[in-house]
Amino acid sequence: MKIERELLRGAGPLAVLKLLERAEMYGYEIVEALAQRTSGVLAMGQSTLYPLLYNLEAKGLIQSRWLAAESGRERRYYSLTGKGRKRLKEDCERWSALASAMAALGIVSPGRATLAAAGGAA
Amino acid sequence: MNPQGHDASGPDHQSGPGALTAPQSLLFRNLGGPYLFWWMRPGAGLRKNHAAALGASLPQPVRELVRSVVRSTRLWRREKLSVARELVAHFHDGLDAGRPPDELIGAFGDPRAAARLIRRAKKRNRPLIWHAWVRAWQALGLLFALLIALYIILSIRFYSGSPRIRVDHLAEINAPSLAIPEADRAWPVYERILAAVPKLDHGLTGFHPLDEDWPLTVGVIDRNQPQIDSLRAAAQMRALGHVSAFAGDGGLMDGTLISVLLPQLGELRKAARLLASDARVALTRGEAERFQADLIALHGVALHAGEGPFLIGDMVSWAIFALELQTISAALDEAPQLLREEHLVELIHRIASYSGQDGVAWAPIVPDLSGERRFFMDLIQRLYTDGPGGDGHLTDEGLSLLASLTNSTEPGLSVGTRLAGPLAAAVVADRKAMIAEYERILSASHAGHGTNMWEARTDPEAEIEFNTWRTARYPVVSVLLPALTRAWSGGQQLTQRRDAMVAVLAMELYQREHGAYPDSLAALTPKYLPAPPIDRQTGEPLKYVLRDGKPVLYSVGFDKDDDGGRWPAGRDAEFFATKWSPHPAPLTTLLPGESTAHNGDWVLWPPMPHTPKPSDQPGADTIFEADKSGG
Repeated sequence: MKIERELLRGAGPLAVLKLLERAEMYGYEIVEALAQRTSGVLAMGQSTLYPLLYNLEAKGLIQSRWLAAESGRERRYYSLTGKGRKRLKEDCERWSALASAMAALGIVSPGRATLAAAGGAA
Repeated sequence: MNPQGHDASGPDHQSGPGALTAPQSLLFRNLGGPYLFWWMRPGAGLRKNHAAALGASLPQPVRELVRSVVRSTRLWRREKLSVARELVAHFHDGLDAGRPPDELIGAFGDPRAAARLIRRAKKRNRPLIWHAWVRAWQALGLLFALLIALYIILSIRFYSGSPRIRVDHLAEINAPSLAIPEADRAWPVYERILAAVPKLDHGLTGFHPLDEDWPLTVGVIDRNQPQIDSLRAAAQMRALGHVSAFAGDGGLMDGTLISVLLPQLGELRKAARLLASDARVALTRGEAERFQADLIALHGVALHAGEGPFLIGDMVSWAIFALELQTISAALDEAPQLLREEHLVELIHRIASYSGQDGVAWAPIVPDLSGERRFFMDLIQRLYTDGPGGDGHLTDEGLSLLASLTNSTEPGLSVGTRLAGPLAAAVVADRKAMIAEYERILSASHAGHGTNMWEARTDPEAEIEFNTWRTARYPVVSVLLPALTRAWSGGQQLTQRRDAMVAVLAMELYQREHGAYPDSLAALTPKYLPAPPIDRQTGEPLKYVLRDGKPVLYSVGFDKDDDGGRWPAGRDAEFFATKWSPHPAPLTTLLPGESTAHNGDWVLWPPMPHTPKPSDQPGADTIFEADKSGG
């Protein structure tokens, strides 16, 4: 399913922050993870991802570093900053509230809303 | 997921044990630290080649895509390097994952949109100093655009509209003269007579018989008796009837009232010098009727000079009247018997009637500012548009006129001045405000409402501070405002001289009737004087004492300290005795320890003993001395 740009504008950064919550990741890895974990719903082209990463970095929500893999090839790894973690928590709460509201309207099923709320609380 | 890292390099590289925490990292980046340190590190210039080498291992289409995106970002070189490295790494990861190049290219998205978004995002990552620089330039550009827009608006206003001449001030000024039949006008007679008198450069430089040049003066007077007779007749004519005209030189100012010619004033001064010298000669020769005729003529010339609304005419008239008083004073001092009683009475009435206020006796002598107002209003109507409600703005034509008024050496406007015209017009007060400021200053001045000297608390001109801003805002006022205090104090001083002279004439009459001078001024009233003369410094009657049976009449002077009727003593005594001032002496004339340079009284009678003037000495012309002290 294809998500409209306006919807993705708010969800994309949050999704990236959530992915980086557990560990640092490089660009291709993030693209792949988004596509797989969201069944392609939040899949984004690299032309969207890298500007998004640079913007998050400009806002101080993530930071990056270059590291060389065992193969010798360099990759740029992104990780959350303290500010990024705080923002992630806040955004998750907002999305949970939104999902609950959507559930109340019957737009999304209660189970999914609860799931979303649980994710936000985590 | 976690790689086995080793140090990699680049402007935005933060790795290894020394990697910074996020807040430090942000601050560090905002201040431009990574860029600075990266460029300072050796081998930085090789990074481009390094990136190219990385990209070289990619398939041709992918490499072209990376190159195209990176080139389209139009970022700084080091930023491009960073983006290229990341994209190359990205595509290598994709290829390593077994995805074909075409699929990777397809999944990448629109390269142009990518380049645009990357550029925008990367610019946000630039240091604060760069953002400040950009904002500063943007603000400057905005300001410049606003100024241009403002200049255009001001230019439209400036170049639209032109002055409209509504009032022909010269015609209004000339109307009274033109109403006089030509045969009754004195000016053509004066002109004809004085044309026959040789230049006085080498005559009349001695006004007192003790002066070295006195014989020269007597020679000039004797040679010009026919002309002097004619002058007496001209001086008795009802009115001067001078019709003023413009210079007609075609200059920018030609046609404005301030360019009007007033040749009559110089000629009347010349006539007055001849008549006063003739009176002096008559005095030495004991010719009473001739002396009296000259005095009458002098008075007539003074009144003729004051005809018309021009302040400069008043000043010339005052100077001639002062000369008349000086001549009477000389007669009373040196040969009082020359003046018979009926002469004395006639003189009292004639002198008392001189006030410049339509012959109102005893009225203070005040400057007529109506001509000054006309000068101002005439210029205003040539500078400004004539808008609704009497308002208007400065015009291009008006600015040229104003420039020629303030800088007569350079005709016309320079290109720079012309370009600045709309801005100048925005600074210069509009028509209404300019007129209001002029009227405000005039009405606040002593001259504007005829303040008596003893009522003047401060010098109003000192309150009119024409600093740079006010001069720029009210240039017409600053240029055309007359020397109000000087005009006012000149009138006050002449009033004092006039009133004192009337009292002295009355004292002489009293003495002839009673065989001695009065004990007080009160003894003169009401038979000889309606009231004792006022000391214009205090508002009280003038001081009067008898010294060796001779009267001494004096004002206490600026310091209001009664020094017993003594002349100022010490340095420049004669100067301060004759150059009365209603104000403290300028500080430049004071010596250390002196509070005032003219301590003493303003002795109005008797006259100061004459100091003979040597020949050919600058300032030897005693007639001019009288002119100066009167004006």
